Amino acid sequence: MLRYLSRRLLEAALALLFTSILVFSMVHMIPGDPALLVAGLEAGPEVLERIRRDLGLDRPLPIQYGSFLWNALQGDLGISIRTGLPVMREILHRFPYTLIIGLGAIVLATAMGIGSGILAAMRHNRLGDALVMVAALLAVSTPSYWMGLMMMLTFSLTLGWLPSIGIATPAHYVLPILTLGAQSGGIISRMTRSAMLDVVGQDFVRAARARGEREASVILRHALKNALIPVLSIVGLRFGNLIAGAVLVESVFAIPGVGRLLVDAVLWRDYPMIQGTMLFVAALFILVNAATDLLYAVVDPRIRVAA
Amino acid sequence: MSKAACASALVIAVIGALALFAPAIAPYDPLEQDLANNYAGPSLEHPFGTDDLGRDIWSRILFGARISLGIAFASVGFALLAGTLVGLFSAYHGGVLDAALMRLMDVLLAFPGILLGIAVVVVLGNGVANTIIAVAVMSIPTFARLVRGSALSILERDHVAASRALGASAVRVIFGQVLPNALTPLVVASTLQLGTAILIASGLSFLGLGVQPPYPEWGAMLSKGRELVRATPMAAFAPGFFITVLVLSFSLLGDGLRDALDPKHRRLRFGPRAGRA
Repeated sequence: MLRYLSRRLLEAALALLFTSILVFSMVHMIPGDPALLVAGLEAGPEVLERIRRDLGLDRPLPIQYGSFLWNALQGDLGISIRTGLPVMREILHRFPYTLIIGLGAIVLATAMGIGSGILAAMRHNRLGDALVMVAALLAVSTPSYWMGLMMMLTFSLTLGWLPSIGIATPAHYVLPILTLGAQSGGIISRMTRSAMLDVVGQDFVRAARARGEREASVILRHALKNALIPVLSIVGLRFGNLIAGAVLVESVFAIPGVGRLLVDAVLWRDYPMIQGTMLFVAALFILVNAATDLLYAVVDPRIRVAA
Repeated sequence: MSKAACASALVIAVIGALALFAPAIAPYDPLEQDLANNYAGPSLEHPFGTDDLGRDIWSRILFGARISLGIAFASVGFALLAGTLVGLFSAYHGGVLDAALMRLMDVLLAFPGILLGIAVVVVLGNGVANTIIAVAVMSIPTFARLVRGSALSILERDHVAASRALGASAVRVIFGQVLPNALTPLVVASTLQLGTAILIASGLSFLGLGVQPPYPEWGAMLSKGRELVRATPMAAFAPGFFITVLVLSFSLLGDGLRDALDPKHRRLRFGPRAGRA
């Protein structure tokens, strides 16, 4: 277990390092003078010189990267060009919105996905199965930004049941969470169904049936418990994706989360903010995925033995 | 091939034909403004109504199909080429370089597509060409991994050993023996990837980071439609509907092709084919 743990953590650390290099070099790959990008086109030579010195642009690139990484590790992601405030402060200020819709979406997707997946597997090749699989297919194929708009059109503008944009009241969270959770719900539903179908044909389930256990007990105690292991790992992996998917959903519903912060930073060419938000979201994604793999190994001993 | 896959192929062919013949079919110029007739509802003259500038939404959808499909095919084509070369090279070369390349591909593959797309746009800027590159970059690892996997197993086969024993050069072995035998999974993956490409490209444009107005790319139209959703709901409905139909069709066609071409995978029909958007 310790070997698996250390290997997986090393992998995550490497991915983080690679991401930091990518995010750092991103800005340096942009054609043009970085100081000019920061200061704006109308800046005079003295201003540019000062900015170069302040940002350390006159130093060699590896040294610049070193201090970028060192500062980032200490939670210092630089100063936003647009607001003049620390990038990290802005991110932490916006993150709760993203976290709430992300957590809401993953809870919803897991509940709906596992429930409907079990139902589909129990009704294998019958109407219920077909209905669930069509719904899952639609949920997976529909772009979140369109699904969100159509829900807004239906539930806010036509029926008037829910508020459309913004994040003022708890009711404002309903549509974004539904929108963000739909795709993952579809994926989890398919996964649960196929895992259940794999398991119900196996000997230990037949043995449970042969002992005369009730069907509910066979399904829940024997089949589901074994089918859930791979499903839970998908849930963890999807959570990382959801945080990234929030970029689109936050734009649909005008939610001031980290995703919207990133998009606005790109539109404003606020480079420290772009680097900071990208690094933040990517690091979150990598850490959640690593945590998922580790939990998977805790739950299922076969993983750590194989590794 | 299954009925669903055939129907999907038909849908893709119809949308492709609409895109190809858009100038002949479209009743209006997609950029032509008619401010006297803005916010018009669906009618005989304007099947999907008009937007805030009085532009005919149906004509914009038709021309938008050219941009959306064009971006999808160009980016997947580019990624297919680059990914195949990386995969073949990696498999044939082996060693440290292979390991390093594949680690890089794994990191890219694990990354959410939309984030990679945004990163490319930050460096290159927006516009059609850069959107194609952004989507291609995020698709390369899929193909590289796939090709490397098949190439490694093909390189072990007897006919390859025979060819090498006869003194065939690396290029001859790779392109004469390995690539032709690795084509089937590539066809399937390309089809599936086309759907993802449309999702990511229109997502970038929806965020204002891809194709820019006034060009009628579907994602950009949807972004405009979001502002107009109260006044003319059709402007928000139509582009997203066509994106969804195309994505769904490519996904069903890809699944159908896999079942038809590769019996080994038939079991996995409902497996976790996680979307990356």
